[in-house]
Amino acid sequence: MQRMTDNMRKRAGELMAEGKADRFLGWEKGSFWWQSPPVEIKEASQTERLIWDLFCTANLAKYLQQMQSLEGKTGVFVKGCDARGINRLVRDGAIDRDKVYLVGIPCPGMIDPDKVRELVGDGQVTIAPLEDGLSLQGPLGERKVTLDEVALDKCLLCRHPEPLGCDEVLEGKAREPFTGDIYEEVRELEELGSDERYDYWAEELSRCIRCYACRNVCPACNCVKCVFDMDQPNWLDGATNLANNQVYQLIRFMHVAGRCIDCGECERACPMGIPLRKLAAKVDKDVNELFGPFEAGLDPEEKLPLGTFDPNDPDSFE
Amino acid sequence: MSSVDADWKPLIVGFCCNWCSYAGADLAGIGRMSYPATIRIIRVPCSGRVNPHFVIRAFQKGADGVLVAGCHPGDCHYSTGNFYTRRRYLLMQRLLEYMGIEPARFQVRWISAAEGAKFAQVVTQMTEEIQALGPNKKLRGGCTCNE
Ligand code: SF4
Ligand code: SF4
Ligand code: SF4
Ligand code: FES
Repeated sequence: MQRMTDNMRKRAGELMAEGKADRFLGWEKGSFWWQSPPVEIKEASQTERLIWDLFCTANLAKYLQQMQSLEGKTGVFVKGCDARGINRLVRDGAIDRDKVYLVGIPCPGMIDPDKVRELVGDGQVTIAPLEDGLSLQGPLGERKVTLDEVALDKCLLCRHPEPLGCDEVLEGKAREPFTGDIYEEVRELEELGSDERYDYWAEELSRCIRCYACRNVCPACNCVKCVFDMDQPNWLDGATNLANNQVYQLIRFMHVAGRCIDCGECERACPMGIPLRKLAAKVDKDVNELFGPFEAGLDPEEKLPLGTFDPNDPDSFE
Repeated sequence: MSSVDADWKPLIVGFCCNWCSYAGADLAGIGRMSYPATIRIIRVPCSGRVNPHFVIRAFQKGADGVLVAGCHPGDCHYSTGNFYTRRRYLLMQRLLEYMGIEPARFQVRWISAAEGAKFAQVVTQMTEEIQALGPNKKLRGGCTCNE
């Protein structure tokens, strides 16, 4: 971790000095042990703020999109999922690849703070790397764990921890890519009857406060003017209630269909703990089943499944 | 499933492509074919014009079923519109099901201008299927403008 941090600071400084980047986007240590929020490094003297630890979860793709209007080039540190997010946005013309310099970090996976709290209690926690895992020290004492025991679910299922499409990649060791079934949770829900499924989602979605954090953070949601912000026509009524929340989610997931990179940011950003990845994964599963194998964000020139067709597509409509 | 009042008739919103299904519906009328008066037709220039939002809004505002009807694949007036429609709605049908909406409530059919009988048959069948399910209570309401 410390070695990677040193490396990042050094490379950011060098690249800015060489004029390959006018600023850098990375992560810094936040006020809490479980936060390493994004930071913009504006000049070489600030590179000491950069850090790399197991909480650099925030996907930087959307931050980069916001910075597109700035002059010059922006350097960005990217994990596997950040790189996919950026490839996505490049694909949509929302990011100009020529204005970006991508420095890849092979990703070991990130920590789910809730899993840590469950083990060592809710309060001040320190996490120290061991040879073969982590030592967690919290209000309930000390625990030795492997990273996978406390990793985010999305990281356990990550198929591309090695960042793709970078200008350079720092030396490091990525986790083993997951090769199993990523749709297990979706299948479980699919087994239920219509009414049970309805009740499941009604209970979850009735909590949504439509803060739109899931949309704002999503690298597949990049419209400058979003339908949900329009009042003429008024596509969705303002009141936060079950029906409006259902409409919102159905439409949002139709809009990200074939473009979602399974970065899990929607679920992480949600203040109400709604299992949004189960919707994202459902749509992704169906895109794959219906239109052939496809993973969004691997190639900045990819053809999007809903922006194309095959005359021989399956047809159950008669 | 709720037991349903035998006199209750569903309300079906049908988005019909101007070039085929709308003409098919017209033909059913001219031919005096009888089918249940459950469908309210909205004419669209192509099935590709039907935004998923239209479908979901129809349910929200009171439809018991929604039909999207277009030209047969390969016969779209704009050559390829309905190929996109097909992808879009194959996906959405499954997403609606996943959210707990009964599959019979949302259907897509290819109906040509010559298929008046097919139009009548599709509406009859959909009406029967939805009648068995009863009024749609899912995704309903949420706005104050029509209640
Ligand atoms: S999803 Fe993959 S690349 Fe992203 S943080 Fe998890 S392991 Fe790393
Ligand atoms: S982040 Fe959560 S609460 Fe906010 S709009 Fe999205 S689902 Fe609703
Ligand atoms: S829908 Fe969620 S998981 Fe998919 S790209 Fe957007 S934020 Fe990431
Ligand atoms: S014109 Fe009928 S489906 Fe395109």
